Amino acid sequence: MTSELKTEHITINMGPQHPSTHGVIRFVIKTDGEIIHECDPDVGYLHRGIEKIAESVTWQGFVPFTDRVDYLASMNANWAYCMAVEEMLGTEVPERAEYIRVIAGELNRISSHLVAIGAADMDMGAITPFVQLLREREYINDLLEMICGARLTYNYYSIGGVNYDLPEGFSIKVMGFLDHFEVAVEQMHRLVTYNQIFINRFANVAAVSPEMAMDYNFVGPNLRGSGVKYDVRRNKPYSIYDKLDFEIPIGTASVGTLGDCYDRYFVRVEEIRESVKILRQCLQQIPEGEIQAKVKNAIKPPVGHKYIRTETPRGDTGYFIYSDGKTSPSRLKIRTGSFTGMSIIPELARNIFIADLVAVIGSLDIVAPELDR
Amino acid sequence: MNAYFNNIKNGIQTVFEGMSISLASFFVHPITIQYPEDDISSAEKLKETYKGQLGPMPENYRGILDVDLSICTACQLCVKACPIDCIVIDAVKCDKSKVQGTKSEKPAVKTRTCTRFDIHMGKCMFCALCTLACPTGAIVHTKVFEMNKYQLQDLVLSFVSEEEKEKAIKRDSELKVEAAAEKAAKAAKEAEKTEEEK
Amino acid sequence: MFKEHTLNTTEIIDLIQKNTQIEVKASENSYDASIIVEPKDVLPVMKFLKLSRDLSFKVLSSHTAVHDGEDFKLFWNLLSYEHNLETTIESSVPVVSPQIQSVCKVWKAADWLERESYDLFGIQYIDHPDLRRIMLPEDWIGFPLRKDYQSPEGYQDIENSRSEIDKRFKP
Repeated sequence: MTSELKTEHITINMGPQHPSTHGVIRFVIKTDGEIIHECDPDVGYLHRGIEKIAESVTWQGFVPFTDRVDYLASMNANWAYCMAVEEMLGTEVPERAEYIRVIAGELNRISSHLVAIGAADMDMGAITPFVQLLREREYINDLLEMICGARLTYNYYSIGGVNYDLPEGFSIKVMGFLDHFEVAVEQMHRLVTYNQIFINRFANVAAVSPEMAMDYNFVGPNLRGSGVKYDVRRNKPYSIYDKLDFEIPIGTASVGTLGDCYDRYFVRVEEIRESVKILRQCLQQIPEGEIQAKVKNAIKPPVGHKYIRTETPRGDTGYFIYSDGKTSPSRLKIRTGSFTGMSIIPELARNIFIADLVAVIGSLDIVAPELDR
Repeated sequence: MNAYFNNIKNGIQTVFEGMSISLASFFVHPITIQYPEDDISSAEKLKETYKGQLGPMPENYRGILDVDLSICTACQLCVKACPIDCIVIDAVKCDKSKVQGTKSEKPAVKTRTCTRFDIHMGKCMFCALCTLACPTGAIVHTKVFEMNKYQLQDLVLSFVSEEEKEKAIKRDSELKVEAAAEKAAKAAKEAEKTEEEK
Repeated sequence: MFKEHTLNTTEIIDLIQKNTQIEVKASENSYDASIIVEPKDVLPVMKFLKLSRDLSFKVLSSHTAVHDGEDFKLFWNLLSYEHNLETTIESSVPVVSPQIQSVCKVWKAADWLERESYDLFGIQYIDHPDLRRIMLPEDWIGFPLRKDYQSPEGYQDIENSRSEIDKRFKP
């Protein structure tokens, strides 16, 4: 008799202002009771036309705008853009500047992953870890504030190097922080990662196979969560990453299926530990010297196109720059990890619970301004 | 069946482990800085009331912009560096020391003097590109970050007052008159010379 | 780490021409070497690049357009994780009739990337499953990233005019 009863699909909005959407995103969901039948992400609420702005500002003047692309990891966004322009100009960055770049970038990677992990926990209803992790992030904010004077939109990297040298006593402070932080990561594990309730919410939810991940152009921790061992820092080394020793963690299906939410989450945790390792090496090896290569005031890279990829916390971020030999880029495209990560939602969200959709978004670590640019 | 009970057992165990970590944080100093009761401008002031581990504001903090007009040469480099055009400078050429009343032993040199130096703090994005471009260090970020105003208009900082502007323009026109007079005198002298030669 | 020989652009071009009998050429005078393909040949070439065992470009990293004079230049940045390869495919369509075959069937990532370049450039992708605006509202007029785009005076009830203060800073 139950099979004869007809149920109608209900269309509901999740967002744009929903606590678990990590920004302003709207999901139009057609549900059959508690199960999602169809999900259509509606993005663009934070579209600020950064790519259009690039056409009207100078090459150097665009650096602060890259901060706004991904506000959780602006150091890495600066880095990608500066590196692209440096390669177009053929500028050699001094070695000390490269080391400083790696230090700042990895610190920022840790702080970004802390927010990603904390927010994923909070989406699952665990509020304590979020506050605990934000406390650790506060120390990193203090460290980054020490080197550049800003807490969120750093504008620290410049074309040809970095803007300021490291202040006195910086490496001692970072070392002190790392010692304290490694204990805190362990604590965080005991608090949430090994929690049975948390595992049950994340494991076996929305598994992405390696083929599917590559087809949808998953990048960064999401891709590695699906078991594909690819990291731009290792496979196409830039800066000084070829001199550093670090591992690339990949998803191992430790509690569920390969590429599920838990794998994506766990890869981030492991990456934090690798970043700590990198930081320790850099602080020991950092040489003295110049921090800024000589770059002209009005730069005009010759005509041509360049596509550069760097490993930011949200994965392989690509800057496609087309120069027509003028004082501002003719076209600048920013291909971000959130954008391609988001395009999988319609497929992943089919036939799962509404509460699991929250877990999927949390584990994909989507940052809305990066998605919309 | 066994797995089911194991699951419950694990759940209870791990929850209690988490609880123990949460409980431990009752016995450490809170990290939160009570703003504005705690003064974060310097390490000494912060220590008086705050027992946590966060630091004070660093010396190079990027707060609102300030301009030292006595060393500004009105070279417009900050205007060119600003990506959002929130700085505007107008200048005239005159002996600055006389206009601003600063005494120096050197003879008055004619330099550019600002008649208008406006910064729109409502638009400024604190990127520090202007301070990096400044050759004399006249434009700097201060540690001030509290700047609430009722009108958007009030967020426009004018560093040259109307008086100073008038003074500079007056001095400029005076100098122009002087220069013109000097030129005329010179021309007259030269004319005399040529006449004498004839 | 990856010391083994990786194919360069000329070798990739040779492979394409040998297997698909499609004329492609290498572009010159640019930072990244790219392969220029005629618009009508884009889909078969892409299919070959993905399915070929020697190349297996399984990832479409980025796709975008550039408004350059009378033409839209289209770029596809492809990656091969297996062989650690990277290449750029270039094509161009005229601004007056910007039509090209969609590559959604080859890579699913192309779906949103093509929607984005339709939204901002107005390029029509033939056989795209769901071609509609993605960043801008549905009722937006014009394509903002074209060079001849004029920003509108307003959108619905929102006026797009510069304030008096702004005019004082930049007339």
